[in-house]
Formats: sequence, C-alpha cells, structure tokens
Amino acid sequence: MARELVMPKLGLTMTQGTVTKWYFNEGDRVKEGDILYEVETDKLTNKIAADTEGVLRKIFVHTGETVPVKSLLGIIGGEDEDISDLVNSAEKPDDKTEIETAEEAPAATEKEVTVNKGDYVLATPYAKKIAVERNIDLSKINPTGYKGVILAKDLDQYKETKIKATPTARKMAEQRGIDLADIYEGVRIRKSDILALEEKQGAVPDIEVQETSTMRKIIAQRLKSTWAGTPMVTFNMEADMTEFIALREKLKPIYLRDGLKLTYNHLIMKVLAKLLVKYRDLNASFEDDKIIYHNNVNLGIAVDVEGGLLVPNVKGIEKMTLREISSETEKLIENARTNQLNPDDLTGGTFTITNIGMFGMDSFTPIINKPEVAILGINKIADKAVVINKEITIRPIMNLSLTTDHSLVDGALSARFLKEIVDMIENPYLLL
Amino acid sequence: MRQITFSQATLEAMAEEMRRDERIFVMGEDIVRQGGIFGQFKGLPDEFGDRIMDTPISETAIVGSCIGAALAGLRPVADMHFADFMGVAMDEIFNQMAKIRYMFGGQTTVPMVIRAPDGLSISAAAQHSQSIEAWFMNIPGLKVVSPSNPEDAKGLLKAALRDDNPVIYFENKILYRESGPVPDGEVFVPIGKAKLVKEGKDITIISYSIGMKTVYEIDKLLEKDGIEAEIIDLRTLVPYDRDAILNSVKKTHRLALVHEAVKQGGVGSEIAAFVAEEALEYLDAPILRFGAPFTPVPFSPPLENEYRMKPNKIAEAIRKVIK
Repeated sequence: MARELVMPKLGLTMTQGTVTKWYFNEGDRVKEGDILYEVETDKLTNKIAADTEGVLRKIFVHTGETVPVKSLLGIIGGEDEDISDLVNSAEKPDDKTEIETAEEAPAATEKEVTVNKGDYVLATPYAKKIAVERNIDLSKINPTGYKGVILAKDLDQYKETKIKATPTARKMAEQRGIDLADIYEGVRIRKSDILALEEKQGAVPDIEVQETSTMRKIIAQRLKSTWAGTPMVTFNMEADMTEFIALREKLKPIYLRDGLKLTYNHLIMKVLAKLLVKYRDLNASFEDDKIIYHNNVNLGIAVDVEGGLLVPNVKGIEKMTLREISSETEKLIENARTNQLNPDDLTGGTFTITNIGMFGMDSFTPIINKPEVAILGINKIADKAVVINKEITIRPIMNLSLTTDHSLVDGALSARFLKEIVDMIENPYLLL
Repeated sequence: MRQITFSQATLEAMAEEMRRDERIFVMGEDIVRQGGIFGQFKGLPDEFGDRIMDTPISETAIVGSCIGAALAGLRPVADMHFADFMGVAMDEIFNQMAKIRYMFGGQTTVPMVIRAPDGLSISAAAQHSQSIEAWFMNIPGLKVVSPSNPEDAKGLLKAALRDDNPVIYFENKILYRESGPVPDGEVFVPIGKAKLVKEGKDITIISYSIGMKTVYEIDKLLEKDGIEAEIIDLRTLVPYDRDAILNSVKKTHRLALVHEAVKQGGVGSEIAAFVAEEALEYLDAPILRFGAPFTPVPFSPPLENEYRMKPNKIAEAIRKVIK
C-alpha cells in the first residue's frame, strides 16, 4: 500500500516547513527507520525517518522548497505498485509528460557495456556499499567483473594505487580543494605542479560565499534585535567554590550509581530554581510595555550544536528535585545535539544559563534570550590566591556574569540577586 | 562411527519411534508384502504387526484415512510410494491436512508424516522421476524436510514423527543406497535448522537432498582453482533457515543455489528472492541458480543424462563470477 509523505507538524505553532535535504532519490529502496529527509522550520531542523519500507517512488517537494504543513512531499510504495492516482492528484499538469516518456523507454537489452565517466556506473551492490562507506568515487574505478561490472575487490585495488606527492603539494592541494587523482600521471606531484594548475585554472578566490542556514538567520535576527533594543548591563562576581565542589564530590558517586550525571550546571540550576521564585522580576518577560511574571521557572540552557546554538528549556524546575533536574537537563542536551528537540522545548523559557567555563573563560557579557530579562553566564573554576582574614590562601574560584535588561531590572536588584546566588553557592546548605 | 545406508537409517528411526510411541502406524502400498519399493520398511511388519498396513492403490484413501486417524489422536505415516503420486491426494494434502488446524482455530492438530520418495533414478521417465518439493513451499500449514545423508535422514524422520503438525518427508531414491556415518543411540535433527557443512569465504553454495552430492563434486573442482566455497545443507525447506543463509551470504558476498528439481519456480528461486530482499547490498555477484531445464524428465538415457545436474558446468559458471 503506497504511503504518502506529508510535511509533518512538529509543534503547536508550526505552519510551514522547508525540505532542506533528501537522503534518497526517486527509485531508491528505503527501510523503516531510515532517515528520509530533513525539514527546517523557523525554530529548528528535524530529520524525518521512514515509518514504512518500500521504494521512494516520487518526490514532489524538492530540496529548498517551502510548503505548508500536511502538503504532500513524496510517495513510498511497492516497486511495481500503481501510484498513478496519487501522482495525478498531486502532480502539476506539465510534469505528467515526463512520467509517460519514462514508461515508454525501451527495455534494456543485454550487451557489452563500456563504462565512461559520467555514465551510470555498473557495480555490484556490495561494491556500491563499500564505495559509500569508504567515500570512493566509483567512476574512478577500473572494473574487472563480468560484463564490465565493478566488484568489491576492485575498490581494494584502488586503495592500493597510492598517489605520490610531496608533503607540501599534498597540503596545498588539500587547502585548495584539488583532487590529486585528477592531475596524477604517475610522476610525483610537486608544489610547482599545483601552482601550474592554479595558473591554468585562475587564481584561488580570496573569499568564499555561502548562503546562511535557517538556524543562523534566526540567531542573527534575534541577537541583533535584542542588542539594538535592550539596555543590557553585565554584573560580575566571584564565588568561592570550596563548599560547592565538596557537595558535588559527595553526591556525584551516589548519582552515578543510578546512572545520573551531576554537573555544576545542575547544581546552579537548583540554586536558581530556589531564587527565581523569590526574585520575580528576573523570572519575567518584557514585551510591548507589559511585564509578564512567570510562576514557573523554565530554565533555558544554551547548547552548542553543529552550525549554531540552541536554547532548550527545562520546564518547571522549581518543583523538581536535583535528580530530576539532572535527568531532564541531560535528556534535553542530548536531544539538542542529535537534532531531536521538539519545537515546544525551545519556547516558553523564563531565564537562561550559559556555561563557557570549559573553554577557560574568566568573564563574558552574555546576551539575553528575549523576551526573557536576564541570563547568567558561568565561567571556569580555577584556584586563585584570595585574602581571607587578612591572609592569602588558595581557593577554587568561579566568576559569574549576570546580564540583565536594565529597562526592567534595576542595577541594585541585579546586584542583590547575583550576591544571593554567590551566597548560596558558597554555602550550599542554604539549599535545604 | 558405524556406517549404515540412508534406507537403514529411516528404518531405525521408524522402529525406535514406533517402540516409543504406540500411536504411530504406517499405511502404504506394498509396504508389508514387499517391504517398500526401496526396502525402507523391511522388517517393520515382523515387529509391529498390523501397525504396518498395506492399502489398495489409492493415495486419496491413504492420506484421507491418515488425516482422520490423526484427528482421532493417532500419529499416522502415509507412504506415497513415489512422490509423483501425491497429485492424486492433493485435495487431502493441501485443503485438509494443511488447513485443518487453522480452520478449526487450533482446537486440533494433524500430527502426521507423508513419506515421499523423489528424484531421478534410471529411466523411470516423466511420471516417476520428479522432484516436486517446491510446490509445497507455497502451501502454508505444512512443514517440508529433505535430508541428504543417513544421519539427517534418521534425525529428521524422528523430528517429523514427533511434530504435532503435518510434515512432508522427501527421501531421494538414489540416496537410499548411500552409506554414511550415523552415531549410536539417539539421533535427532530439529526441523528448521540448516547445516553449515563446510566453511569458506568465496561463495555460499546452498543445496539439499541429492543436490548435496553434486555440491561436493562441485566443491572438489572449485578447490582445485583455490576457490573456497561455503556449503550449506538446507535440510528443512519449510520453514527454511533464514539466519543461516543470511549470515553466510553476508560473509561470502556470493550465492549459488543447486537442486535437481526444475529451476523455474524452484526452491532456489525463493531463496534467491529472499536474499535479494534482505541482503542485496552484500552481494558482489549475481545470484546463481542451478536446476533442471523446464521440461518433463526424459526417458531416453542420453536425454536423461543431459537433464541431470552437471558439476563441471556449475563449477564453470561459479568460476566466472569469482575470477
């Protein structure tokens, strides 16, 4: 039974989506669970897996096209299944002729085939599988099989024919994206060969222009408007981490036994869960001259992902135990990294933390995730000489960078809030 | 280990199981008086008396009566004399024997065995030489086994006799006389398990019954060329051992299927299609099927000889895809 693929609705607010990639071509066989295509919405990119097996018979919406939710994207069906009804109902009239001519093509007759570059390459299924795994271009392989077919062992031989080149030439070729196989004629390739090729092809351009991804566009747009429209002030204060570290070291093995991680982020989230209920002005949104106070603390965490940054939020952490915070947070981070976030995970945040301590930062000025009014930046923990009771001692110190929206949150309030965070970190028993 | 013939092995299986379970009895043509056309029932009437029964020449009556007896709680064995005669009892076999358990919602089972000697002998002609196992791969509700050697012949017959479902036991006429090692004591071969006879890395060759004899000859020829074939004896055709097949093909990346039966629509066709569905990406050569030409078995000795499996021709075709 043919299966219609439609633009999924990946969240309450999604109305349309862009197909950014198809992983299969028309005519390819797909298995249940195979990633079929990628959909980008204004919030995130999602990979969509096949929920049935069959042949991808038809693609209606091609890469780069944006269509409303529920639009027909393609059809999965049996190899010989008649899908003309489905195709006709979806097809634009001028596409029909293409299908008819395809059906009229004469059946291939068996004959000796010579393989030319650019032609359809004859290779056994196993050879194709290996070529994909090793990223080998089949058109460069010499076939030795029956009827001029490339066999798996032909790929092994390809691997063995090493291209000789000087290290400099190799490096230059790599930087310039030149495939050495294209210019190799059995003589060691030198720097001069690369330069000569460059001369022939024209100079390497100084710049490379790339279209921005949807994710990057959104990030840019949001940060620009926040930056331009928000008077932001960043407050810095150091916390003595002695007790906080001791607390974590005691709890960590106990958590580990239950398969849970315990990070400083989790502990700081617990501190914030407690304080943000009290400091309502910092757990608020500021939009259109209205202040919205949130009764839940939905704490956003900035997650570094390939191609950008995502800020999923853990909902209602004021009601959560530390264990729950740990497991929920780790789940969201994992989902963010594997592209499995639900759009609802990315909306409704009330406060955000961003931790760049692992990169050795001492201080920075994080930008608020609008419409929130504050963000807490977390830096590295390092041993520092500090003066306590007029004596210099060494203590583990971490600096916290709190950015607030001064139009709503006054400086004194921000300072009090940050001070109380530091107090609680230095004396974590206050969490009880 | 002691060596006995295929036919003795089936006799041992019958005698041991009939001693173990008195519900087992046999119906067939000339099996008491003659001991079976291939001697496969010789001596059984002496020990088991009227539990070995000669019948009129009516396969319909034999299979029909056995189904009735099975429904009444006995465990009958129907001897078909020649597999070619199963056509006479086809309604009993595929509409009754195979369907009753399903039709009555599992309230009853039909624990019976049909023994069917098959295959080419010497100029037995088109109606007494056929291998018809593929027909029964298309009938849900049956199990089908086809041993290639005395040990499996004994073990599979015992498994068939103990199975609560109808089992068709194809026994090859030429193999009856072949000897092979059979251990003393209990020999039991579970239905549905293929046997990896020989490990190799270059090609998987799958066969069963008399086809295995041909495969061993093919293997000798291939060994001379340094080709290491992996050999699988299917033993059970329904349900066939899918894991054994896939595991081997994923290792050798090539597959050849050999049987004496007609190639078109044969057991090899089913397995080829199965492998193409499940493991196409592991294949480094086209799947090779070897079977009889699409023609009745000829009576003429030269033509019959032409009809038979040819190890050297098969080996040559295999060499071509390995090179």
